[in-house]
Amino acid sequence: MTPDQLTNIAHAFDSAFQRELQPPKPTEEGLLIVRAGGLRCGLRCSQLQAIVRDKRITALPGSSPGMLGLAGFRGQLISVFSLASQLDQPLEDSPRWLALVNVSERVWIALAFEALIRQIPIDTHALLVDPSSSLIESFWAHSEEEPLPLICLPSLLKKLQVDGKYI
Amino acid sequence: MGSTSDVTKNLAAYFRSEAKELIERISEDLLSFENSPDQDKLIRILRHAHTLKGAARVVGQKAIADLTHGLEEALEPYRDKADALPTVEMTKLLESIDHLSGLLNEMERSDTASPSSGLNTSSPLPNRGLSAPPTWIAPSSEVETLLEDLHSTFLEFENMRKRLADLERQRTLFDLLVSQLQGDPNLKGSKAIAEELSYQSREFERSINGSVEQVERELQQVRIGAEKLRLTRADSLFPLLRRAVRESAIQVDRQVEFITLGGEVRLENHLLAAVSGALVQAVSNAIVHGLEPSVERVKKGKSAHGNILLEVKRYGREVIFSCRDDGRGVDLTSARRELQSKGITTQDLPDSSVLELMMSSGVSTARRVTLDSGRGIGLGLIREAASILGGKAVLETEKELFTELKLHLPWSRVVLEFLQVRTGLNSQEGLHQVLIPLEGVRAASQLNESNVSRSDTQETFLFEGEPIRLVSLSGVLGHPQSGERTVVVLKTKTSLVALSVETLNGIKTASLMPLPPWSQASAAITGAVLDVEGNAQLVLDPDGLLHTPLSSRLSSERPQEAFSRRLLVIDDSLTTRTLQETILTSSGFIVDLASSGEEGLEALERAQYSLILVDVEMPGIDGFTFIEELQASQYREIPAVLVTSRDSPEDKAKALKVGAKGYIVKSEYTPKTLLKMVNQILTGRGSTS
Repeated sequence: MTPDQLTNIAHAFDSAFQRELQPPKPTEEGLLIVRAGGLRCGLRCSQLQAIVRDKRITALPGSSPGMLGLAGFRGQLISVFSLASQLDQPLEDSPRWLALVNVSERVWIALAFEALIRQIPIDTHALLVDPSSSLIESFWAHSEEEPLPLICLPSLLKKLQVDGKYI
Repeated sequence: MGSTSDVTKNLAAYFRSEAKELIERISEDLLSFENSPDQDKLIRILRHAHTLKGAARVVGQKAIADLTHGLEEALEPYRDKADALPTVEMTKLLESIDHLSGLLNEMERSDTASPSSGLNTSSPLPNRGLSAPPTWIAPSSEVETLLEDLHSTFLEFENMRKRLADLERQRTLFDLLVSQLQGDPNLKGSKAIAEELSYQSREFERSINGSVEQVERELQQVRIGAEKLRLTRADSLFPLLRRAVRESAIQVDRQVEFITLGGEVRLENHLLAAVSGALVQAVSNAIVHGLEPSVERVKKGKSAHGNILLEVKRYGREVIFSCRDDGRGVDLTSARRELQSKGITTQDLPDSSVLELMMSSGVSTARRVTLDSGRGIGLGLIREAASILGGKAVLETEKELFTELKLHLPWSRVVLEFLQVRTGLNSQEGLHQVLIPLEGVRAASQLNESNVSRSDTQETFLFEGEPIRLVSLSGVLGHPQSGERTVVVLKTKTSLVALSVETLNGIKTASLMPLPPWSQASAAITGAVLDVEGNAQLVLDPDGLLHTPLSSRLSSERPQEAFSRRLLVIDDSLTTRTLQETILTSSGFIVDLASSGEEGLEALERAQYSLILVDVEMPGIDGFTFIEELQASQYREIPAVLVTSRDSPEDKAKALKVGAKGYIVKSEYTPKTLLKMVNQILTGRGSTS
C-alpha cells in the first residue's frame, strides 16, 4: 500500500466522524429471522428487549400449558414460554434462544425458540398484511425464499395472557 | 485524585451515614433508659452524643453539633445518679432527637442532586413528630445496578472456566508429545522443551484455577452483601414503633410493656416504608382503645402494665406483621349494634364475620363503631395500607383477653438460609436441586422399611412415634421416584410433613423471590432463588406440600396408576416398538403398543393417553392419515409425534400440516432426545384429562 493510499484511508476515516449521522429510513426496520419448532418466522427487533442464548430453564411443576419454566436474567426471575408451542408447531429440539419481551411495567417474559437464523433490515413497505391469522401480522415477501411470516407479538402475548389466565 | 469538592461531598455522605446510626442508637437507649434506668445506658448515650458532636463539627454542621451538645448538657446531671428522667424531660430529649433527624434529612436533601430513595422519603406518618425509621439504606437503583453487574461478572466466570478447560487440553497434548518423544535419543532436545512446556502449562493451570476459585468465592460474598443492602431488617421499624407506643401511653396514661419479635427478618425497603404508618396506627390503637388503665387491669387480675407484642413472621408466600395486646378486647355487642344501624344485619353472623365487616366497612363506619365500642379508629387506614400492598388485614379478639391485628402482606424478596436437597441423580430427567427454607426444617433421617407404612392412598413416615405424611420430592417435581432414601421432616402451620429426597447438599444463604408474573406453579413451590450462575433454583413451601396433588410418594412410585403417564406407541416394526417401550417404561411411563394405525385408533377407545408416538410408513393407514383421523376425532387433544426414518422437508411440512406436535427422525434419535421431547410436550400440554 502506497503512502498516498494510506493517507486517503486515514482521511476517509477521520472525515467519517465529521459527517452527520444518517437516521434510518422511516420505512426500514430490523427483523430477526428465527426458527420456532419447524417454522421459520420473523420477529420485529423493536418489540424485543434482549436476546440471550443457552440460558438454563428450570421447569416449574404445575405450570400452565406452553410454559417451559423459569430463567434468571440480570438478577430477575423471568417466565419462559415456548414460541413453537404458542404457534402450534411441533417441537423439534430444546430451544436454545430466548427473546425477552416487555409485557407491562417492570414485567418481562421470555419466548424460547430453537434457532436464530439472522438479523436483517427490511423495508416495511414490502410487508403483506395477513388478515387470516391473529398471530401472523404480515408476510415479508423477498425474492430468495418463501414469504416469511412475521409474528404479531401483541396478539401472541394476549393469547398467552388469556390461556394462562394471567389477567 | 478527587477534587476538594469531591472530598467534601464524600465526607458529608460518610457523616450522614454515621450520624443516622448514632441518632438511632441514642433514641433506642433513651427509650430503654426510661423504662429501666441504668448507668451503663446513660454513659453509652453520652458517648454516642459526644461522637456525633465531634463528627458534626468536622463537617461544619454547627446546628447538629449545638443540638447534640444541648442533649449532653441535659443528661449530665443524671450521670452519677442514674435516676429515672421525668417524663417531661424525656419528651424534650426525644424532641431533640426528632430535630436532629430533621436536620440530617435537610442536609441530605441539599447534598444530593437526585432525590434519595429509601425509607426517609416515605409517606408522612400519622403520628406527629415521628420520623421514619432512622436506618441508612442504599438507594435501590444503585443496588440494582450493582447486582446486575455482579450477575454479568458471574457469567464471565463461565467463559473463564471454558478457557481453563482449553488449557487442560493443551497440557494433555504436551504430555502426549513428551511420551511420543520418549524413545528417540535424537530428539532429546525436543523432549526437554516439551517437558518444560508441559511443566509450565501445569503450573499456570494450577495457579489460575486457584485464583478463579478464590475470586468467585469472594464475589459470592459481595453478592450476598449487596442483596442484604437491597433488603432491610424488620427491626429497623422498631424504634419508630417504640416512640409511637411511648407517645400513646403518655397520652392516655397507660403503663405499657412493648415486646418485639422477628426483627431479624429482612424485607424489601419499600414494603417496610409502606407498612410503617399502618403499624404505628396499630400499636397506638392497641394502647388507646385496647389496654385498660392500670387500676382496672389489677381489678381484673391482670398485671398493672399492659402488654403489646409486635411480631414479624414469614410464612410461605407472605409476611405477617401482628400486633397483639392483652387488653379488654373488641366490644362486639357495640360493633353489631353500630353495623345494624348502618343497615347491615349481623344477627346470624359469627363474631369473626363481624370483625371482618369492621375491617372492611370503611373509615366512616369504623369511626362510628369506635365511638361506641372503643375500638376501630384507623382500621380503615390499616386496611387501606394492606390493600395497597396487595395483602389483607385480619382482626381477632376475645373479650377481656386480647385483640390481635394481623397484616398479611406478599413479600418481594427476603434473604433466608436454605437447606439444599437433591433428587434424580440417576434418572433420565437428570439431577434436580431444590431449596427448603431452613426455618421450616425440623429434622433429617434415613428412610427404611421400619419407619414407613403404606395405605392405598398415601404413605406415612414414623417420626418420634407419630405417623406423618410422606411426600416424594421427585413426585412433587413430576418425575418418577428414584432412590430417595433420606427424609427431611418439615414444619407446616398445623402439622409436620416428611419429604423424601436422595441427598442433602448443605446450607446456603440466598435471596428468595416470589414466582414472577405470568407463572403458575404447584402449591408446593413458594418461589425461587438465583444461583451464582444466574439460574433459577426452586424453593419449596412446606405448607404447600400438603396441598399438591402429586404430594404422595405413591403417585410417583406407581406411574401406571397415573393416567398422565400413559402413552401409545404405534409402529409396525417389532424392534422399534420394543425399543421405544423399553426407553419409556424405564422412565416410569406406562406404554401400550399397536402395530398399525387402525389398531392405534381402536386403542384410543380402550384407554386414555397423554401422548401418541406413531410411525409414518405402516401397512394400512400411514402415520399422516392416522394423525388426520385423530384430529377429526374426539381425541384431537392428544398430542401425536411422528417417529420416522423419512427426513425430507416435504415430510416435515406435511407433518406440520396434519397437526403433528413433534417430528423425530429415527436415524437421529437417542433415548435422551426421545424422552426430552416426550417430557417437553407433556409439560407443555399436560394430560388430556
